[in-house]
Amino acid sequence: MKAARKKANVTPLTPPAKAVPALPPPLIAGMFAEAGVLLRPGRADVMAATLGAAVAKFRGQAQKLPFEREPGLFPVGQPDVSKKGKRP
Amino acid sequence: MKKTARAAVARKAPAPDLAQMGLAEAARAVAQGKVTSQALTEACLARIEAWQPRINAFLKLEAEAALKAAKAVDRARKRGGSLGRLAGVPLAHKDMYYRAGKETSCRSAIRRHWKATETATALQRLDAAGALDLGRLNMAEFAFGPTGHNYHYGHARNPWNTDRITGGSSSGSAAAVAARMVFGALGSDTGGSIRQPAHYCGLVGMKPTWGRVSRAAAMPLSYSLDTVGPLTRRVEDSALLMEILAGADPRDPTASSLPVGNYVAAARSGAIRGLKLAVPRRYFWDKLSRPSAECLEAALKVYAKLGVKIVEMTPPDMDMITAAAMVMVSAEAAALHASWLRTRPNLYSDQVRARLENGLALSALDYIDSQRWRGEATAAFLKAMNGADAVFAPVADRPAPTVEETDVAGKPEAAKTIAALTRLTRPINYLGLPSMTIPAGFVRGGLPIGFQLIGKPFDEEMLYRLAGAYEAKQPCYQRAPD
Repeated sequence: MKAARKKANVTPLTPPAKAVPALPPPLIAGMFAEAGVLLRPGRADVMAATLGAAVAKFRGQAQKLPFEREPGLFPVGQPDVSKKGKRP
Repeated sequence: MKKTARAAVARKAPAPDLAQMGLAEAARAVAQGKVTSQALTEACLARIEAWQPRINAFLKLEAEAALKAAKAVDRARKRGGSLGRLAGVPLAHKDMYYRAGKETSCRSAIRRHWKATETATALQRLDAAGALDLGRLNMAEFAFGPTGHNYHYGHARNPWNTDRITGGSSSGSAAAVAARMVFGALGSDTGGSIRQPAHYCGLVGMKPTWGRVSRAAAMPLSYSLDTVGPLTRRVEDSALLMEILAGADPRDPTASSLPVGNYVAAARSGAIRGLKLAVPRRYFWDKLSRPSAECLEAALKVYAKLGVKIVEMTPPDMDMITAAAMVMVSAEAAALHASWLRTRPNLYSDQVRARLENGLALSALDYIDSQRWRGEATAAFLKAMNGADAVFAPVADRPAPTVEETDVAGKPEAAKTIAALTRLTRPINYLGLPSMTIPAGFVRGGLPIGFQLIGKPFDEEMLYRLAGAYEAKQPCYQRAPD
């Protein structure tokens, strides 16, 4: 662990936070209120369970993104067509 | 007397059903004067009359206008006027392609009587090529449902077995083309909405590279994932439509200016010996039903016999890619619908409303990170292909399920059902790659099975080469629903 931190040149300022749900229902309620959309009873719990799982999974990946990474789809922005892909 | 008898027999012999022809074949027949556009249109109208009550593919039929246009094409041909590549061929399209002055409901209650003020570039290009438009086709509400259920206008049903789903969201497009009501139709694909109905209905469905076909004046669902493409019965038909649809468009800044390939020539070439197909058994084969797996193995053997080298590939974490795609589509769709979610939430069906609401709970950070990771995920997938020309994969885990078992509406299990139906297609939209469903064969009960070929960015031509060669050996289009 220490070696990994040293390698990454990262000094944590606070101890790692205790695991919390990715989308806690009160947060969802707050987001709906901010958007001015009616939140139906029970929906926050369903969303926390379903969407929350996808978000939690993705956040794990997102943490590994390099600082410089910009949005973009194709790696080089050009078609990657092999020689065999030339017109028949 | 003999002559009279022969004439009587000739009269009694059933006329060939012109609606069974392929799109490209029909276009050639009109151009060469072997058949009139009027006859083609009447054949399609006869099929619509017979099939519409069973499969609910059409919302609005414009028979008179189409017949009038067909007669105009026939007159132009007789005069020797120049005809477009699709002159006189009847098509119809998903009700999300705007046509100026016409109602475009997107199969929603919210836009029930909404009239478009502009025409989609995709429709303009088909019009310019001389295609006829027979009317508006059913679809999932706002293209946000993978089953073909529509709680406002009635569900579309699968022509191969009307107890089964068509898949969605391009439900009416798939049903209409499979039932031979039209020769081809536009669909749209944000998470599998062209490829998955094509699989369930035994059709060729092309989801092009993101940016290959203009989306101008087509209903948006998710800017970063939406693609426009055709559903047809034959590979050559799909290639012909794609040559007409693809290309730069000043009305859509995301439409690529890269040159459009020779898709028709590729589909006809048969030159696939020495090509390499990668098979990602991890993830894609995990939940595959046995009949589907057997059908796909048979398809791989066909390719092997044609001289294609079959290699295994280990794909990157597809669950992670699916999670990222989920974040992206949820955020973008919610942003588009936020105003209606505030003011008219009750006009959405339960399932669509629940799915749209998901995006309201996401942070800007999550969404931006889904955009930042995208190029990296695509690069990882392309690297995993390890020089293969395309990837061969299932489209769905099994043949079409029943309308009843997938009728989850707003129930708690809806999210699970939807995720299960799109798990093999949704990640490819996130990667932005072209992907095409090709009918592989049929399983017990007469239900069709397809496979998808996934290509490199803007390499649709390669997919048409591989698809055309397979179809030449396994012409599934020769079998029609009855």
